[in-house]
Amino acid sequence: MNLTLEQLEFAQPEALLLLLGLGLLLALAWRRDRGKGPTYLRPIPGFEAARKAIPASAETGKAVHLSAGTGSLVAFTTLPTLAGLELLAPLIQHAATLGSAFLTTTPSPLVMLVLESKVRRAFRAAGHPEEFAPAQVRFIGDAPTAYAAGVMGTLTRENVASNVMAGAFGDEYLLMGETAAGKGIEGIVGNADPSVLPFALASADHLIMGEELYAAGAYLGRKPWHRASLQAQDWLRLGLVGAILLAVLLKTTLGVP
Amino acid sequence: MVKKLAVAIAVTSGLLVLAGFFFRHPLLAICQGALANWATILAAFALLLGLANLLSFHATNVRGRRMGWGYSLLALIAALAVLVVGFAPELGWPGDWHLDWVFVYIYEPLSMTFLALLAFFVVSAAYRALRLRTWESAALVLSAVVVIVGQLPLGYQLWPGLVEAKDWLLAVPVTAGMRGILLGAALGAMALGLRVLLGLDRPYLD
Repeated sequence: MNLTLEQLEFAQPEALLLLLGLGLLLALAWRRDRGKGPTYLRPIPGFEAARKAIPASAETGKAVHLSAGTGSLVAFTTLPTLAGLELLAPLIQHAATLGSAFLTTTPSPLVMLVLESKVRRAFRAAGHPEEFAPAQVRFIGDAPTAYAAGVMGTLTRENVASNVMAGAFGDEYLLMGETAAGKGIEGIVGNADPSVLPFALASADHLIMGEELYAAGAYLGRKPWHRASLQAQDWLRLGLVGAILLAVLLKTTLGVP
Repeated sequence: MVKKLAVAIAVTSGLLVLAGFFFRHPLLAICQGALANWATILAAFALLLGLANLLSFHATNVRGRRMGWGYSLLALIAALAVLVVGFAPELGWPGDWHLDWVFVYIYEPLSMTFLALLAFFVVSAAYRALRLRTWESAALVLSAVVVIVGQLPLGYQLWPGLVEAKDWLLAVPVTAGMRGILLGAALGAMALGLRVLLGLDRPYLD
């Protein structure tokens, strides 16, 4: 096969421009954050509730159920699933440190491997690696419906105080959310899908919605790159909103197409 | 050292695939295809590990006679039965319809039946939402009534303005709210993707 540079073509230049723009803003926000200290973060009740669920579980002796959603790491649900894992990681570390009971479930075998690694590492970092039990990381089926059935059974039969679910969900969320609500289990849900948010709002006690899910690293993990990322997103959002308003103004007043 | 190697592999693979979206070149297409195939193979092997995890958990439940061990026994029997059926051609069973039959006549009906429960759960969730007793629940009740009655033929008979109100509600505030959420989520997802691809964030590792 004859491979030459002349065969190179550009595709989707607008998307590349947006991505490069976000990268530039990220770098600028990182430099600014390092010079002036932490950026202000508005309080989000969902993250506060998630943070408090772990010590509450240690006090009551009941477990916390943690789920990174019904998505996978090799599909279009990769990013919400990674966001869910970012939210769960500090909770797992906190639970391992305090000795709180917790269990994680997932319908994706790849996410199961990541969760097992995080749980093992958390116990190792807490100084008691022998506390890790394989039953703390459970693979429940490969289909969303099967997963929902498994989680419903887990929430019904096991002694669970809080149910933290963050990531990609479909309609099957309501089966799990309603089961938790019916059993009086505190529900903390993080999701960015507008079609699932009404279900989550109705059945969960605390909702982390839309872009808030992707801010978990800054709120719970407190990593500096996450704070810079939030700042960059804010700047880009202001820019996009300004561009939309300008376009509306030009179209309605000057008739520009 | 192992961690740095893992991050280097992840970043290189991710940037190669990303480059393939923005630059078209046969070499990039070959790399993209190879990486996608390797990911599929890894996912298939991970499925074996997931199966081992599932069988191990339920076997422990049955052995220890823990709460719900009967369901664990059923799960074990079902998993092993489908596994055997999957090997039907290799076992010399006539035809290759066995696995399809299990999915079409057992798994799909069970799955649909389970999803049908959503209808009842939606009602109970709506009842719980209507009991919130805040201004948000009042807004929820009012908009729910307008949309539900406006959708019915009866709505038009009662007052034609109700249908217009329903259309306006769905076209303006609901669409605006959804677009706002999607815009914010898209920016968040883009930022997370960029951080992961540049190796600044390692949710798959840390």
